[in-house]
Amino acid sequence: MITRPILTLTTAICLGLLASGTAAGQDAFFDEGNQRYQDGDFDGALASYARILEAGLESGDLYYNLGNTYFKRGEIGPAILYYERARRLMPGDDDLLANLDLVRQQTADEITPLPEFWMFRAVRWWVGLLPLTALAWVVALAYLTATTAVILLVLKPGTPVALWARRAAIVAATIALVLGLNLAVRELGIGAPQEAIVMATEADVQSAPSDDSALRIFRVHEGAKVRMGRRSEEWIEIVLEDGTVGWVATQQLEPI
Amino acid sequence: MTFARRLPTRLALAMLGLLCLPASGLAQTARAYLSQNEVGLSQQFVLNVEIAGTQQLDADPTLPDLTAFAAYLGSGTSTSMQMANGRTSVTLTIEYQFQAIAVGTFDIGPITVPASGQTLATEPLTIQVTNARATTRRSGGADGGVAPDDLFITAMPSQDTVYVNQPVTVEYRIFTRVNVDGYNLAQQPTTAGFWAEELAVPQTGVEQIIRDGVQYASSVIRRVALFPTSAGRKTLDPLTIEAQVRVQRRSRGFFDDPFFGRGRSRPIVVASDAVDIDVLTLPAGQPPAFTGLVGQFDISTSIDRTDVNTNDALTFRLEVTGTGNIRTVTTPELGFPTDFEVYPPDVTEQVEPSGEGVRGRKMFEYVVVPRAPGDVSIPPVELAYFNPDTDAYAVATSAPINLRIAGDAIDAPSGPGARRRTSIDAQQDIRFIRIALPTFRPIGASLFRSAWFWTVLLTPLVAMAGAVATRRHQDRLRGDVAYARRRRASRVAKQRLAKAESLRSPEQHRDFHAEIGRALHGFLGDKLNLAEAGLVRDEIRSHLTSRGVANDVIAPYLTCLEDCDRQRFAPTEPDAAAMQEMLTRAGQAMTTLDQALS
Repeated sequence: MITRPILTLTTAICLGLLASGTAAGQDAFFDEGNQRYQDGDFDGALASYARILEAGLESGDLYYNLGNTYFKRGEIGPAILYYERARRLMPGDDDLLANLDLVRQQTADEITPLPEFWMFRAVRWWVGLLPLTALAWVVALAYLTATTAVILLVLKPGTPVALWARRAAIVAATIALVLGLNLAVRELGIGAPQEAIVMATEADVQSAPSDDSALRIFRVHEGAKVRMGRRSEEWIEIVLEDGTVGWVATQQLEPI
Repeated sequence: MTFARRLPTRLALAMLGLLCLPASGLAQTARAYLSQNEVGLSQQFVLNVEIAGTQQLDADPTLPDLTAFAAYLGSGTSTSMQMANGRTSVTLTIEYQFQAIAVGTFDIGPITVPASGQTLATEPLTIQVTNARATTRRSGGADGGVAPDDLFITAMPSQDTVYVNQPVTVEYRIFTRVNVDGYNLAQQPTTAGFWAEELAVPQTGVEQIIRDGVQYASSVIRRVALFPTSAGRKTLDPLTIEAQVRVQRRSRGFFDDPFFGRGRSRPIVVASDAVDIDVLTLPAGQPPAFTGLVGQFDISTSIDRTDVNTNDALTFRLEVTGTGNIRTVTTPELGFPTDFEVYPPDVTEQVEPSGEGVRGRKMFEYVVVPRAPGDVSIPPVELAYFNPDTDAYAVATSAPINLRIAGDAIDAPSGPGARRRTSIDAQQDIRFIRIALPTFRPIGASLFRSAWFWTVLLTPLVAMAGAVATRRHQDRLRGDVAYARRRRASRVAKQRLAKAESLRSPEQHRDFHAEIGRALHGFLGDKLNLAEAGLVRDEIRSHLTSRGVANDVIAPYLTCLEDCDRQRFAPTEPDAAAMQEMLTRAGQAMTTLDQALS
């Protein structure tokens, strides 16, 4: 009676391990891409990196390298797109932020972002403080510690072990809760806006979802980051970082 | 130039207009002719326009465009009056001096002369320009009395093969056998590809020189030092002068008497030959400090004091002397310690055009302020140059200077020109890619879809639930008899049934039924926590009914119990099949009761 759930669980774990095991073949592509990048063969590097993506795998470092490669090819739009994708996976990475800053300086539009409420900024800083893997490990360890302590507490009440278990349970549970919330926000993408990068060299921004040139309000250029809003057939409502709103044709954007 | 060319013509025309008033009735003709129909390349020729019977020219004659094959040098005007048969004829001749610059046969179109309200046109001419230089050397023009050999200019380069930046001195001399009142430079030769330094003309005056067996009066008219700026074959354009020559007319007219001829001077344009100079590239093996200096140089440094206090201003002098392109000496690299504040230098240069090339000095005067005490050595300053005399590179080095600086260290103020340690001037480039292998994860993968997550999440929960259950079980066992009995009721009943099964033989049927009865009784007693001994049928029924057990569950149980009691004391032996059926019925009764009670 009890053996059946254990069997299912073991199967699930094995499957999970298998899934991570398939990455071994992609390591070769990653190394190959890096080698080509260092040899200055940026087209080749791009092809190698793309095979990893085609295999349905991603990583912050991979996106970072892709961003670098596109930058070296002089394609600002894709470079920013991949840096932004990398940023979703490793928000606090120093190299990434430095490169993104440098590439942004080369975009045609100078968009001054609206000042952000300090609490939002603080929350974002806190959420992105730890790399995802480290965060997951910390939460898992704290959770396991807390549950183990609770089990000890239940099984051996009134002993000195139970006293320590009680303290450990409180501390570990607090950590698990706080960082677990952090992890949940990150993983579920709570509060993360739907953003996109302008891929077209120049995109007309209309005041309404229509081609009419009379409705054109302004133009954005390759590499500008926009927040995506409502959609209407081929058109999408965008909000620039400075708060300007307008409609652009969907194919001129690439969602992050 | 244009003005200078036109002025004499206009003047002459005006005079003519006055002179020729009586001749107003004469026919006006214009004729053009060349000094020679065949001319060597670079040689000069004269295009004459002769207008007879004019009173006045409304404008200068319009010449066709000759720039394809001829370079304009200058023009002159002469008039002649002739009296024949009591009629005075006036002829105006305008001479245009040209230099042939292209080989071939060329047409000179009609020349139009506006005169007295009419437009006169000349016949077209043809000129042939050949490569033959020697045939007509220096044509002085067809004007009377001045043959090409009478007046010419030579250009003498000091050498015709030099290195880049090595000066070549070109001396222009005028040779004449006719009286020259004076001259002016009509055309400065362009010095493209050279940097020119005019040299003083020696004040030797006019010399008498025998050349080709003929005695000439000669004098230097220009000396120039030319520094070629790049390698290759360079051509210096000819130098052209307009000389005022006193001439006598060819004709034997009354007015040609020397008495009248006096004071009649006419401009003659003469030009030197072009000069070719081969410029060689500097040989390989240039020292690192070489900046293109060619010649012979020396470098020296000096400082006004050697024992100073910090913050005292010192004057540091650096002097480069020598022959060569001294003007191109660049500010040398000084090896001052960084504790020194060095202000930009004051640069002075003195260049004396000497006999051969250019000699001079260039001085750099620095104000330096030591900011830290100590014994400091100012390293020697090096100046690399190429010496064309030895065909080798050389480095001039100054002597090092030792300074003793007393006093306290002073923070350098940020004055203008203050020398600072250079900060790192970072190039703008992206940071390098990641080389270390990352952990890849499926795109769009969420933690909540991974087996690991659920394993880690649920296992402890299950374990915790187990722990809680264990704990409660232990607690009940310890303090609750009813619970303990209930927990073991099924086990005990099973044991008894098993025992009964082993007694399933007709001989032992009493024991068999007794055991089944004990199992049924015991099970109920354990389940309900009652003393087995006191259990009678009615009591059992009321207990079970009060616990909500349905009657159809109670009835088979009680029937089974009754059957057991009856069989225990029955006289006949039951068969094996009946005993097996009994066993099954007891088991079923207990199972249904267990289900009803739980």
